[in-house]
Amino acid sequence: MTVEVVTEEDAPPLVRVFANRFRLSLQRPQSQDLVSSLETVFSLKSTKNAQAVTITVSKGKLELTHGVAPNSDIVVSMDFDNPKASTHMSGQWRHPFAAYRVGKLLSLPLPNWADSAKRFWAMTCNEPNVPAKVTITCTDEDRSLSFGEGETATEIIGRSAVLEDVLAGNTLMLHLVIGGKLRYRGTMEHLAGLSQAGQKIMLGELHG
Amino acid sequence: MDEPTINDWLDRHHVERIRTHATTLDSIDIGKYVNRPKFVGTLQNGHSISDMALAMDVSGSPHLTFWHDFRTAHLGDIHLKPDLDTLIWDGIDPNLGHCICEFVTTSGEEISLCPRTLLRRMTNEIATLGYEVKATFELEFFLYNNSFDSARRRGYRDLEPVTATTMQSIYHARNAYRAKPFMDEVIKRLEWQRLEWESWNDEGGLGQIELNFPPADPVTAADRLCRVRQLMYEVAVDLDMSVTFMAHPSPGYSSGLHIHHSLVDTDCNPAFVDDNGRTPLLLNWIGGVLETIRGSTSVLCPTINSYRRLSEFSAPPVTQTWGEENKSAALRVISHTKNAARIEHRLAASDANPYLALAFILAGGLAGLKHELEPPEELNILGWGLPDDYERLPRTILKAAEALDMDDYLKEIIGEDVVEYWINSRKWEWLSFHTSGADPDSSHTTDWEYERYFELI
Repeated sequence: MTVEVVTEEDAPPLVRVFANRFRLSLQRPQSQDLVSSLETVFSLKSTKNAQAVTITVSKGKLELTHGVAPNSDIVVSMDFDNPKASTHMSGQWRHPFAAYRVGKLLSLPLPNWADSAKRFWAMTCNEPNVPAKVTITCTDEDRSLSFGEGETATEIIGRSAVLEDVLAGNTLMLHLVIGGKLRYRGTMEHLAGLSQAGQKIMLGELHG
Repeated sequence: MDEPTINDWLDRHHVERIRTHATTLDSIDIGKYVNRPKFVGTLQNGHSISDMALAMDVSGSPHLTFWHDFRTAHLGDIHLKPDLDTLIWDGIDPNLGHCICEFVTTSGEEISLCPRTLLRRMTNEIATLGYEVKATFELEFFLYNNSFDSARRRGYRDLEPVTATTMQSIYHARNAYRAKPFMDEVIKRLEWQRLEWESWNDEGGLGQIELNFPPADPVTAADRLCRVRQLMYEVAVDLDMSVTFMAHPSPGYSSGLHIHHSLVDTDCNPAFVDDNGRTPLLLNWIGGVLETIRGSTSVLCPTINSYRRLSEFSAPPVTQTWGEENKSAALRVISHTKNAARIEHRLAASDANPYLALAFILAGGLAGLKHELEPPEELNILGWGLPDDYERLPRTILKAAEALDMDDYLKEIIGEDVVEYWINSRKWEWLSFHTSGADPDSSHTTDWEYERYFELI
């Protein structure tokens, strides 16, 4: 059974971002099993502002809409900009089984950086302003992968966790480069192209 | 004007410094104060400015996640090339002149993304068909007794509109009298700068005013609008007041930018009507403008705030419709009088870029002529409250961008590079709004919108 992930019409970015995360995580068969036996409505809301997303899980399908639905079994309050920050869950005592499954669903692992890099390149190599050749170096594994052909490669350098995040389309490459979490050797044009391509993955405009 | 003529003009007007002006995609007036030797010495290719100037959003954040070929790969310069026909005397500062520029490359080549260049190109394309365009804008804005500094401290909320009453009314002598000191100063400066105007009146919203101008060629009409917006800002600063061109600063009526236009032939005969009434050209023109109106909504309503204006029965159109003297349709066509025959396009919000807005409307008209597009049935009923089978115009910035992305006519005539860049810039605006934490369901103007649009648009 393949889990379908759908979003509402004219969905705001947060809804699209979570839809992308779920689509990616649900590529693993064990993740599919988790969803196919789950029936619940849960919401994630920001601890800092009005952003929120509701996920309805039913009959092996995930439907994402913005806001906190009044029929949510569980509401998780979190900092979307800092997923590692502590979260608060309400409703877990009334729906302990669902809460456990939702917790698992939210912490599904992403593919490793190397697999994500291959997927990223396959989806983006023909996008505008993406360089002809890219070399991605993982500093904690001391390992590089190159994609495409050309005399000069645009280089992306970072730790595996950061690479997994950006190559999965969870975070904009530009922000990580500006924030110093990723190192980059290349032109502004190619940084814009790679960032835009990543943004398209993030918003569900590119699928792979 | 050549160099000797320029020097003569500068001598006669005692102008020693020139403020250069260019309009960005988001309708921001940018430029430099340039001394006379520098201005005269760089007439041919203009003076330098960072290429980011044409690649940044309303808040000054550079567009870093999309690209256009005018930009240099490692960040660099472009130029502002003066159009010497636009050189005018400031009127208040005795040694200052103003000149409108276009964005060009450092070697002086046109940049397709420059809004003024684009409008000039559309106007020239119509000229090759043997027609001249006459156009004008109705400028609506809100006026407050609070200074900009005071308004900023209040978060732009609970301001004191310039009005005689708390009731929404229009053409009211008492309301207008409250605004008269401000408008007198505006009119005085307009006349010093030889900028033509026709009339002004209080409008429906609290503190809302409308200023009208006579028709001109499209580029002149858009130049004038940009100049008047800046001039009004300066008058407001000087009088400790504030003025905003954001579309929906407060509950109630919003500000639009109705755009009137008509075509005349080389003998100055109206092209929209003849002795037999509406011409086939008019019908094709309407067909093209309406066929492309969903896509051009993205340009006519460019901000998050623009879409707060689009609701039924609140003056703006919401459907893809046209009708004779029908102000509830998107296009109010005036064809019963030969000499005043024109189309009033009623969709644009006051925060629209006048160059881009008019360029996209003209592009729609050109598509209509080129592909002989027929208009839908004329709307002889009210354009609001219609059944759902009347398709509504896009109601969000993203839906409008998606409609533009599907518009092959506009891509063909405007240019795919320009359309693509514009769509990316609207997605950027959409992302900026949502990722700032603003409430997507807020039925009122948000803090984010006030901060971004109140003073800058």
